[in-house]
Amino acid sequence: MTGINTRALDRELKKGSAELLILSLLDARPRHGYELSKLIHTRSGGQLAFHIDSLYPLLYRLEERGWIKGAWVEKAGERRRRFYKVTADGRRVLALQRKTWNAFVEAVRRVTGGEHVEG
Amino acid sequence: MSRDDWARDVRERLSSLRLSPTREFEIVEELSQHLDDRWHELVAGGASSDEAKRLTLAEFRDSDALARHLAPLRQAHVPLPIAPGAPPSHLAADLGQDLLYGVRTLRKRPGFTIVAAVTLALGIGSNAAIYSVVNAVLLRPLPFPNSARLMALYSRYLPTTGVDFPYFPLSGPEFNDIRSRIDAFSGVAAYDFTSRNLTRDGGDAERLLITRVTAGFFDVLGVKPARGRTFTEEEARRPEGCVAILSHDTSERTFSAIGSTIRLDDQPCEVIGVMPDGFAFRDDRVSAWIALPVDAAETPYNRGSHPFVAIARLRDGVTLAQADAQLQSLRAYWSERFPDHYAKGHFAVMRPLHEDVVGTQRDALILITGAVLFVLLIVCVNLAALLISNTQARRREFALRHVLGANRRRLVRQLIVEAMLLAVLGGAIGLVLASSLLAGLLALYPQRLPASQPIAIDHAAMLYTFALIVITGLLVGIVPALQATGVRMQETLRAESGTSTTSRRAVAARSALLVGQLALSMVLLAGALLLIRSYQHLQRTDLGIDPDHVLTFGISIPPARQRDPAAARRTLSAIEARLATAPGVGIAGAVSNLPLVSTGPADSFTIEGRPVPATGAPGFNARYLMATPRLFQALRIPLKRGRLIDETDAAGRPPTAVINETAARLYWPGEDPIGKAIHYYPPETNPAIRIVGIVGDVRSLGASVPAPPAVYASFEQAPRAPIPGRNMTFVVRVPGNPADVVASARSAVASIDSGLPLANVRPMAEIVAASAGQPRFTTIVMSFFAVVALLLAALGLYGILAYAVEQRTREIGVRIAVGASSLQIFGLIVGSAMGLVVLGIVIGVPAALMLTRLMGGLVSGVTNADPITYVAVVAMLAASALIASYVPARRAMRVDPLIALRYE
Repeated sequence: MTGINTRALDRELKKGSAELLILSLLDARPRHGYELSKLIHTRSGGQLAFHIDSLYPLLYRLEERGWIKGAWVEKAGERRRRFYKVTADGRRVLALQRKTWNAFVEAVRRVTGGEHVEG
Repeated sequence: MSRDDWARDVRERLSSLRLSPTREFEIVEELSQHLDDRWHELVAGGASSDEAKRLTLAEFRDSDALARHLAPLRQAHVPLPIAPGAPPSHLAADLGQDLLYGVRTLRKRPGFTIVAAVTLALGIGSNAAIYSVVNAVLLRPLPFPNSARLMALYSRYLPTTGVDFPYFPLSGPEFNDIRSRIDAFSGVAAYDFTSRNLTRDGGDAERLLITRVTAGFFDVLGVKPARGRTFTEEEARRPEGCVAILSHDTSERTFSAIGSTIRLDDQPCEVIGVMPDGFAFRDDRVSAWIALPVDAAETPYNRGSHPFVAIARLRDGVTLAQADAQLQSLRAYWSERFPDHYAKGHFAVMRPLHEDVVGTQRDALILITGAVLFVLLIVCVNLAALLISNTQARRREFALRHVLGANRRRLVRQLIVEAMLLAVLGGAIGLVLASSLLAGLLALYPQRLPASQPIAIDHAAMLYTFALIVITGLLVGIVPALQATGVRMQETLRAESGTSTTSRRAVAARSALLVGQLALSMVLLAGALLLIRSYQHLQRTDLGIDPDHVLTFGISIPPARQRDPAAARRTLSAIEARLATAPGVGIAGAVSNLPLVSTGPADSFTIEGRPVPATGAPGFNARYLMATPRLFQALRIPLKRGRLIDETDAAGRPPTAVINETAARLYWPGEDPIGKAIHYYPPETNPAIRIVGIVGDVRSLGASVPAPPAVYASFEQAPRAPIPGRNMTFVVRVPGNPADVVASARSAVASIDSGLPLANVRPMAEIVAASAGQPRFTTIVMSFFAVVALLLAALGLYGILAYAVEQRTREIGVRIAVGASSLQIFGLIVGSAMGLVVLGIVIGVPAALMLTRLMGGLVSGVTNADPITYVAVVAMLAASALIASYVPARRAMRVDPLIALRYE
């Protein structure tokens, strides 16, 4: 099995999994900020909630890194919204993070022998 | 809840960050969208509006969490958030941003920027060039220590004496009285200008311009020689000895050291001093200074003869008024002591030497300064109008910035900074342009500028230009800035197109500026045309001579070369005879004083058979000239009655003379002067001169001055003893170009005496042209600036019409659609142009009438209300307006109604 990068692990533990969450949700299709916050809230069964003042700064940070890209989209009868999608760079990062995350989870599971955690 | 409320909340939370305005706008929009969505969801879920709002805002954990989380991002640190965000904390806050933004804005519109900069360069450059001249001539003090204390002394004849001379030279005894009786002056000195032949060992001779001065002259000026010394009182008083002080250049050129001897008019002169490099008094061509003996002996002749111009230095602590009071007391003394001479209104006067040196140039320079300031004003108005339509196009930008929180003061400042940048750009190009303009001005300048330093764009001119740039920037920027950032900025954002009231207001503002511009140009045009008409008048004035195809030059025979005056005259006669036979020469004559160069002494005489007028009382006074018989043919001075002087009027025969018509009219009214005899003063020793003929008047003082009375005595007889006739000007009429016979004239003179230099070799036509130099200079310069003003006005008119046509495309389309003919459309546009021109004329004519009255002495032969001038000005304005409106009118005619209506 692939050895886990200890420094990356350390960082992930500190930063939490917010980036991974966002990239994963956007990997499926472009979404706007409000949709993202609702999805995270509902899919986590209310366990995870992003405040507006941390969600958007995170989005902008990812955008600055070039992992996601936002664009204004106007739809008939609606006000324009900013939709984000994952860039090619973002996909590579996502794949790496998923791998790191899975390795981490696997390691934790082995240690604790606890329940399976879905990635 | 409206989205604007959310936006305000979000914007507040972002205020501590340095986001670019665009980015901030986006974030505000995105987050308020989010909040709005949330609120709607809560309301849809059954929450009350207030409850929903509270819950929505709970999305923010605390007031600065958003900023804290955004702070690490690059976008939160845009180095130059150029949009005016919060109101500036002080006036100059973020000025750098405004500057950078201004530079970018100008670079985005290169066409506009170039036109603006070039017109500004023209305006500022002309001002810088004129200022350099004005500064050197009018403003800078004379190059002598404490020069404000230097006075010029003259005598004054009131019109009650029969003549009117505001500044007339002093007589020897008068000069002496001032020196001995007035203690307000620490020093008084007299000077005059003369010329001498400088002969060198090689045998070639040259004519030098020389200033003769009395002993204290250099002390009065406060200047010391660079080497050697100045005259002692003793040397100055002794006419037989000769000592000379040389200019720096002359000393270098002639290799004359202190103690060496030069020959002036064949008289050996010891060089006792050399003046510092650059020293000049009134004329920088002067090569040397020699002593001026003042004959102050108290005789009626001496008191009545006025050869001396004087300078004086005010004693320390003495005011101008005190010195003047002393001159007044001298006047009382003179009237009492010599009532015949002074009681009627003749006394000593003074004025500052600087004023005396500047003289008549002052009025012309002030006029031209006014003209270039007008041109700059027109440039400013023109540019302000251009900027108005420019800012009109940018109204949406300003409105958006206003919505984003920029305050009006900040926007106004931004626009003024942009105008200032244009002014700086124009000023920089203008300074470059100014050097060329200055060179042109100096080439045209008719007189020797009495400037000590070379005239150039110096520090003072730079400083002046800088001040102009700042004022120009403010003038140009303020109107468009206030106009564009006025009320209803938000409305602009909502308005669908630019054809709202705002653009109509812009057209109105521009129209008002344009009318002002037309009126200003009108004033300049009127001024220039008046000068042109006055100049034409001068040109048409008959001088009384025919200057074409005439060469003139002076020859002087100094006593040291030929002691006997009669022998000197014979030499000159021989030269005249030789000249007549020289190749290419038609007629050669000679005169003691050439018209327009000098007029001859104004001397009093008595008439035989009439009572002698009291000394100094208005009597019989005429210019005394000596002429050879062929002078009149050479200059084509017509014989009116009697006969001319001829070969029979030779030495030893009874003296004869001809007089001019003015003398005949003044002194023999209703009588025939021919056959009458006159005596010059003193009548006891001067022989009777019989008048044999009357010749036409010659305007010897210039075209604008009537001919003075004149007596032409026979040169060979030289009947007036103190005036020996050693200096004559030869007048040579040739069939072709006068310049072609110079060599032949030179060799004719040399064949008689090779040691005699020809002085001032010039065609008569050149002398005539030079005599009108000052009016010609003023006229050319004024005309140039008037044409610039007219062009700018036409450009302004074109600009506003082109803009109006664009704004009215739809209206024009409708008119064409409902059947207006092309001609009607053409008339519509040209008509609106003419409306503005008429307004400009209505304002401009009274303004011009008022302002041209200030030109007073510069205009002669026409009144400032000259109808032809005004008709011409109106015609020129109308014609240029027609030309300027042609292109916009054509464009209006070609409007396609279909396209125009689809525009909306």
